[in-house]
Amino acid sequence: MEINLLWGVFGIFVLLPLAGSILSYLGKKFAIYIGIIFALIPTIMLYPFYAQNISELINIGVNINLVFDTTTWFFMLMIDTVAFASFLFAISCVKKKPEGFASLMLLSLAGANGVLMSRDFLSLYIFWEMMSWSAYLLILRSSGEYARRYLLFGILSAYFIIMGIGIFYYYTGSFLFSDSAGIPLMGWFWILFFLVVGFAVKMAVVPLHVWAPYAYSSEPSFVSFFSGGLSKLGTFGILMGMYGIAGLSILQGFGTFRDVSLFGYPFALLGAFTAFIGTILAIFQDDLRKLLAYSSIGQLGYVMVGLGLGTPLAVSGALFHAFNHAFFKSLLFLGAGAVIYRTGKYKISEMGGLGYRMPFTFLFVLFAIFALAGIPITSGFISKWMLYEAAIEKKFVIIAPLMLIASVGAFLYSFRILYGVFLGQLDKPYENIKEAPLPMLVAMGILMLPLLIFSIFPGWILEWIDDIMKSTGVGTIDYNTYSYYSSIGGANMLVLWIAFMLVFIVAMLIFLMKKARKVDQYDNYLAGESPPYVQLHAAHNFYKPLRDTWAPLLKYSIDRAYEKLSRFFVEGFEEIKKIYTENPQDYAAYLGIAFLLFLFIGWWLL
Amino acid sequence: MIDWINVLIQAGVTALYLFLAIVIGLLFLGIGRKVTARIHNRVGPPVYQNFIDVGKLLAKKTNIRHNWIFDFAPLFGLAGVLLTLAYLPMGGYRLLSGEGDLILLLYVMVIPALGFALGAGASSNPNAGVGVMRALTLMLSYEMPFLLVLLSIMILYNTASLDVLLSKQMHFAWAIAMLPLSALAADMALQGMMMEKPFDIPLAPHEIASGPMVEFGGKYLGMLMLYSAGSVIVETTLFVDLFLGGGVVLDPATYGILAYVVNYLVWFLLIFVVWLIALFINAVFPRFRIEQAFKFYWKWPTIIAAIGLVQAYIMSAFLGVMP
Amino acid sequence: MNENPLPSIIPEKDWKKIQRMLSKRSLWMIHFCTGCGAMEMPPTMTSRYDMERFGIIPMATPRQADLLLVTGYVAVKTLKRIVRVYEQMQDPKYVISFGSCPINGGLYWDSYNTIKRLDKYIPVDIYIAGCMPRPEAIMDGFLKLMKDIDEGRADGWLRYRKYYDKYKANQMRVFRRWDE
Repeated sequence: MEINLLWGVFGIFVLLPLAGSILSYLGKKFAIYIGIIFALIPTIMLYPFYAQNISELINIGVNINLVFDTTTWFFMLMIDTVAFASFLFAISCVKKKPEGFASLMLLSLAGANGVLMSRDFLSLYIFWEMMSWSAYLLILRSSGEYARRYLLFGILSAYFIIMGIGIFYYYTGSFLFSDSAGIPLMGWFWILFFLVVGFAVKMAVVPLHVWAPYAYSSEPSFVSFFSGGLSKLGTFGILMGMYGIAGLSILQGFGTFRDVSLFGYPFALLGAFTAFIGTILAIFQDDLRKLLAYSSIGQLGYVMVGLGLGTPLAVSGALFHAFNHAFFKSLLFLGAGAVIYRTGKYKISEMGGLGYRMPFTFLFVLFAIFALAGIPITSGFISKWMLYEAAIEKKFVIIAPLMLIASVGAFLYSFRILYGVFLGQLDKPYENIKEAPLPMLVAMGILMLPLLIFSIFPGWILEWIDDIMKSTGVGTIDYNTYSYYSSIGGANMLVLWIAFMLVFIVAMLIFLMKKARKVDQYDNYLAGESPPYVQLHAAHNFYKPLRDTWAPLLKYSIDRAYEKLSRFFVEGFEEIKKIYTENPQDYAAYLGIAFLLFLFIGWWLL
Repeated sequence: MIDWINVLIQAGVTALYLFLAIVIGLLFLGIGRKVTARIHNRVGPPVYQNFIDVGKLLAKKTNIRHNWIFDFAPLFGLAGVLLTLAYLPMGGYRLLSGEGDLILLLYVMVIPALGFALGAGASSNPNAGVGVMRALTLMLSYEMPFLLVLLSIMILYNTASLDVLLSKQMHFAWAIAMLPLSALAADMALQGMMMEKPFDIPLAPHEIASGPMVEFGGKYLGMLMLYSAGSVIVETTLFVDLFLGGGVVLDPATYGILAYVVNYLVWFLLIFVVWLIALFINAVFPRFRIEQAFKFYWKWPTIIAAIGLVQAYIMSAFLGVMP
Repeated sequence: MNENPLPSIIPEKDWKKIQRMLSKRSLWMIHFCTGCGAMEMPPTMTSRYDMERFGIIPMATPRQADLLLVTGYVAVKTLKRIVRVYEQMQDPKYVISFGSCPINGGLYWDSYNTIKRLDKYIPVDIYIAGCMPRPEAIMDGFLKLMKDIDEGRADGWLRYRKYYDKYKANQMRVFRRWDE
């Protein structure tokens, strides 16, 4: 009975998208619609499978283990919903070879769901590569250069993961996560190090982030799935590696600092730096997609902090933040995609005033930005709150200020999006621009709902997270339906919402006492001038004074460091080429040296 | 079963406190004008001048609006500042604070500012865009020392709850005695938070025509004036709650209603003193440029706040000072 | 880019006394500094005469202002800006014209590109004569205006609405186009 249920789950969440991938490739013109159906079925089927715990060992020569539990369910909820919304969005905007888009998206969805279901390294690696390569091909649809950058780091990540798996196999002779007994501490260190670094590439943690701004500049409908959905697999991998496979007792075996494992602490620190650097770089971007990409890097830095700290509050904050990030960041990418679709421009300074013509897109993006900045009327606040309190209650005086100042920086770049794109003066060419098409709006609306609902009822999501925490053995968190607590504070969201509504009504009453006359945007005080047909939109180089003060620091760039490294290698290989002198005597000498070398090494080894 | 009468009384008292806070804020703005005038050797307007101003603005015959986003500024501004006030203990009275979380408060404080920025941006006046850019840059500047200060207080008192912080300060010692350096840095940050000179860069009437406010008039400006009156109270009270024990001198558990009255008066005195310090600095200084403000804030106040943080860390983690 | 046409209905009824009282005690002014008259404003604002004690303070934009000060001769080019600024102010609004030039041309009575009477183009509530008026005269003008507002005689903004077409016709006679 059990095995049938597992195959059913596996069929729905992995095989069905795989089949859909082939079908939609054959579907040609209707590919996207087929894709929607095959992305919708797993999303809906998540509902009956809530709180199931299905686990099965399967022997295919080696033992593999497929599991469907709350962890899987929780991550599938984000990834499948985001994939569905991305497909819905793609109806209007993917015109070039839709069959390729749909089949690759479904392939990567199948891969992602497979990764989430596998609890052994073999199936994990197979599904991981499936997801990773289809993502590569999807980026290739827009630009070869971007795809190469992604590929380089994708392969790096795969190497790291393989190394981790190899060491694990060396000690245990098995691929199963559960067969982890008898690994010495040094072995654990290397396994976890390689796994965490490998998965961290997917989360774009500094200094492994340089692929992200390029990869996230490809098609918006894919990027929202990529940034919102697929990057969460990195979170899943690190969660599994550190807390699922190893567990707290082994992590704390490395020594602790205020109950936080010394293994996790450097990663938390790295995450805080990622949050800070990603935010600062995002402030200065003019390309809308690059800005969102750097912001994505920064936000996933917060998740990394939570995973590194490893207290119950921190890990649940990290999971919650990953959940929020999945929704608000894909919503932002879709909003950016809608704007780009309508205007055909990428630069923030070339847009302006679109909020008056695209009010619904503006509202959705505004809400996503509220969540991104952590305004308490969205669920984005709660996850950030948990991460801050987790750092503060353990008195981490470097991590906490970095995270806090990064969140202040988030206000800066989010206002840049709002002002540069949606507010300010409407330019002449966009005078008759229309609202985004209906499928796009529906897709954005679907993504907005969880951010709203879970801000009033954080208890619902915290219940799922608490389940995950229990199953990984990290601990429990203190919450009820409307409120949540740490050891040093807490907050009640229902009270906040009711109070906000009441004071808003008061403000509304004062506001409605008088009527106002509407004037057009050119009736503006410019010292009595009204310059005709000049766009007065102050969005170009918006944070120039700040940029000037940061200039001495901004000249150091990790991007350029990598480029220098690659140039060094290219030049180095040029040098190595010179040893091929075409002189037989030299070759004979090399042979002799090599022989001696081997002799010595062999002698030393034996 | 919820006790509805209690809830209603609570709501009524909360409304009274909020109303009083706005009234005191307007009075403070008037006092500010009077004090500045006296420093300039002028007579100055009467202290109730700002009530007249607000009344006049709300009674204007015509108002203009640019679009529906433009309305966000007065609505979110006033609603947000009232919400913030409801989360601040004024004279030790917990309004809505519940657990009175400092980080929640920090983020609730952003709602009015963000609404204001949205409305200003929607006016499609380039001056407004520049003004908001300056305001946000200034925010990034002063938040650096201010967050360090908050962190040192939270670490030393081992709480993120304003309520607990107030009672700990009442029973142990005011934070200004424990962390004098942090208090100094916080006061510097406060000057920027209140946008008083030398940090009135975002408004700068002579450069960018009062920045974000350039297109607001009539009832819009009237509501924004109520917002700024409220935010004066928010900012001074935040400092008083953090460092001067929130004016709580008598324990309400022992003295009952008398304690609330006395605490309210002490709180009023203390925020008045904090407001006067800001005014004195405001009256004699010229204006920084925004780059200078950024460099200033990330240099001196940040260093002072960092020393304060180290002090708090050492006291709490190594010396075991546990208020 | 013409301004939005103002509605021509004049609501008289709800123009209450209390509002007049409020707006007389809080006159926010925008001073349009044409000509030499601007020189007399700083002494009026600062410690010697201190107009803030009557609640009069300078504002940066016409949206916030109730009182427009035209301080000197008005060239044709300037007039267009003055009209724009005036129309951007919110009702009730008052105009003080300052010095002899806006009254009758003053020193520039025979100039080809200054206008001689400001009252033909926008309604003026108070004239302060003199070349230049001293701060005492300015203060006196302000007090006169406050008295007029209190008694409901400062109704320039009502006149501007009532005779909007005629004012516009007068304005359009001096400048050919709106948008330059």
